Amino acid sequence: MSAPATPLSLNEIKFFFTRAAVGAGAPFGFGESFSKSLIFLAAIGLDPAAVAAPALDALAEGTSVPVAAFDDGPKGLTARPATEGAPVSAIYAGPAVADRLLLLAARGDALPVLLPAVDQPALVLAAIGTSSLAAPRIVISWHNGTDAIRMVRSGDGVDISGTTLAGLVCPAPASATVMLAEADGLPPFSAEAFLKARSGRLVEGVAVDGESFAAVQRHFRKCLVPSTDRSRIAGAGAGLTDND
Amino acid sequence: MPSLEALAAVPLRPADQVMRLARMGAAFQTRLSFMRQLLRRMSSDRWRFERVRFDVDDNGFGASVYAAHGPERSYSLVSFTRDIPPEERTDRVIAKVWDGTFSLFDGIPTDEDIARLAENTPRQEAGRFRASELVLARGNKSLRLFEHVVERLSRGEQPDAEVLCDVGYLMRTTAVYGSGKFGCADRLKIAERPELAAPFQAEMLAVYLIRWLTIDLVNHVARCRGGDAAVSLDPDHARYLGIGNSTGLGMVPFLVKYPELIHNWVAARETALARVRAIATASDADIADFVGLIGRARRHVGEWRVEDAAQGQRIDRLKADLSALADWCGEGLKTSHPWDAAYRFAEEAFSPEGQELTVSLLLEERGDLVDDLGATMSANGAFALDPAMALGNLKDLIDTHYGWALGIDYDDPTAQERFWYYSEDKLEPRLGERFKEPGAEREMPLSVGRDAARLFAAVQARDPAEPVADFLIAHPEFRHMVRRVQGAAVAPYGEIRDNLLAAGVRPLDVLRFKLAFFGVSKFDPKSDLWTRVNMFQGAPLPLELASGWDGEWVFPVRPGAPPTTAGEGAL
Repeated sequence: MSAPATPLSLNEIKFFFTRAAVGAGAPFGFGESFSKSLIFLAAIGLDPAAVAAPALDALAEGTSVPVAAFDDGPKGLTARPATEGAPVSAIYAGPAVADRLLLLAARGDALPVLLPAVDQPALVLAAIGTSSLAAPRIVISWHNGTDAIRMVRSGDGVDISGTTLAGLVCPAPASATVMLAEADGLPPFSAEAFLKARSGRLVEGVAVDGESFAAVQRHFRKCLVPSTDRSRIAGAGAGLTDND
Repeated sequence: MPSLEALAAVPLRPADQVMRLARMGAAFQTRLSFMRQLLRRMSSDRWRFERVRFDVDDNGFGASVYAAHGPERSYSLVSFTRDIPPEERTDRVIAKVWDGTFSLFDGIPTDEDIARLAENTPRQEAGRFRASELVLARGNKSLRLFEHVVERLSRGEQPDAEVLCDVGYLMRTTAVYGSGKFGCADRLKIAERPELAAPFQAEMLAVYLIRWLTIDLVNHVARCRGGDAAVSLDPDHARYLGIGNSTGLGMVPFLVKYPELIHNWVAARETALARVRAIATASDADIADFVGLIGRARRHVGEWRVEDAAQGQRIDRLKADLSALADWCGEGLKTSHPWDAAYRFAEEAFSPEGQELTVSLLLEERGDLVDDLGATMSANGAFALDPAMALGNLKDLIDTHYGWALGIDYDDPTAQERFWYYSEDKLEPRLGERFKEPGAEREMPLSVGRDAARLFAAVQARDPAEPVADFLIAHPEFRHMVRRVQGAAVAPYGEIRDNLLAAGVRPLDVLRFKLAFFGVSKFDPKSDLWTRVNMFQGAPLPLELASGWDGEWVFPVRPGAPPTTAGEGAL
């Protein structure tokens, strides 16, 4: 890891990371969800660029793919990748799983969702965390080859076991399970209240790893249009010379 | 305040009427505009203003710090002024140097802070900022007016009011960035401070303090040049000087990006209008005040000078509309629900500008019914997607709120001739020609109408009972549009109801709409892509505010100008 870059504001995270997802191949709506998820992870102390960069690279390179469907099975729903055998991209899977859980909740159901291989499981929990799903406790668990990792969103916080914060960044796709857990009388979760409670951590800016952010910016720049003489002269407002 | 029953009798104007580009491009400031809200608060809370530092040379170049002290917190404008080559004085985002660069600091900066900002603020987008900075801005002088004012003051004379009227400001800002840009503080940091809770209050405060600085600069340079012979700008002339602003395309993506916020702005204004229209009677004093206000507005419009021929014609028509309104008031207001009658008269007889200025006039006299709505104009959240909604319901929403988009033939090249994009050149927002320029595949998502029509077609082909969650698995490209459509159900004013890709689209209409909510005046279009405007013209000076300015300052007229309108009421 290189030295931390200058902290980014939340506005910058939204601007750069939303468009970086688009640059990597995701539709804009998924880019919006992606940047919101990264702010959620920043709120628990995780470097958003560190988890975003590998997710973006995997999507852009085609090694991770969108979710094609959720199949019913004896253990719950299973995410089917758009390409058989490929891991699903968390940039797609996060919002898709959140949508699925909300749909199940609207029907009074709460089945586990299995992701046979997902590139960044932490992003999936974050996408659920930023959705309007009010379930008091949600668990995502996966295995990184050595340890069993659990992220639990409950009450007004997120508990992690089996790894450090930095260990939430997955070096390789993992099989993950998302499930609603016993609530123990906890109040409904509110993404807004969660972020408000952590505003102290966010208002001074979010430190990001310089190398990872450079990788994010490589995807972001794919959304920019090269300047031409024509566009420079005629493509924008305001005068090129002073005249008042 | 009118009863709820009375309010129910005067419905809000529909979004299909007020969110069309032609209507948005006719907008005027109202007493809900953001700079009006800021000054009312600073006046009622008795803010104090302090020149903390003024280290500038005889030509006005150097560093200065101006502080505004509210009841609980202070804010400081840290300014750097310098000499720049005339050929580099451009209003575009791609500029690299400016006459003045500014940071609004949260609190009072230390010497260390000022030294850090001296390294960064003059570099603008190339600098880097912290959460202690709330706003980053820059501006260029109006060389003609700046020099005229300095020259006159240095000789012991006040400036020529006609020349003041021609330009109206000593400096024009070319960008005012807030909300987390380039590392500055996010909205999250200030959203719950009462003094900054309304939209764009930090940005407006920065501009207000820049205006103060420019007045000090001409006084200072004139004193250095003229010595004992020099005089200072008298308050009437100083008050008439606003601060200019040069606005380009960047405001358009903003308005499309935040439909929740834009809805709240418009809903507040429309609710205010409905409240005023619901008033059953008007006293003689109310009528006299309104007629006087029309007179002042006529004088103000009479001083609105532009080179743009189309805007010139619109101003001529507006003058006629105001004249007709003044004539109508004599009998027209002697009826039940007089303000509703005034609005309906304007709607039937006036140009869009005449109608919207009438709205501004109607709101102006009724702060008691209007001002509380200022607190409803912020938005700190975004629409949440409802994946359980059935596609049949989604289709109904599209039909209801995007009907304007469904009738457009997007196979016709003129329907999507333009595309919006960020340029690699300093991320400058630009408008391209889709079939002549490269880059359309990288366009910004401002194609709301086209996307709504495509979504409608895709939804029509599916089972109406299918939930949105399943649809988005098959069609992930519509995720952002589904969220917008669902949001439109609760925030119908949030969407510009016209095709921003069309061949004849006028970004200027969008700019004017947003600038009107800021509270600017004297729109001076320079093309369909950009405009210059005046901010805070006529506003009380800081020391006047601090000593308890209790009046309004709308529709300023030049110092010494005689009333030109027969029958104008007392003001």
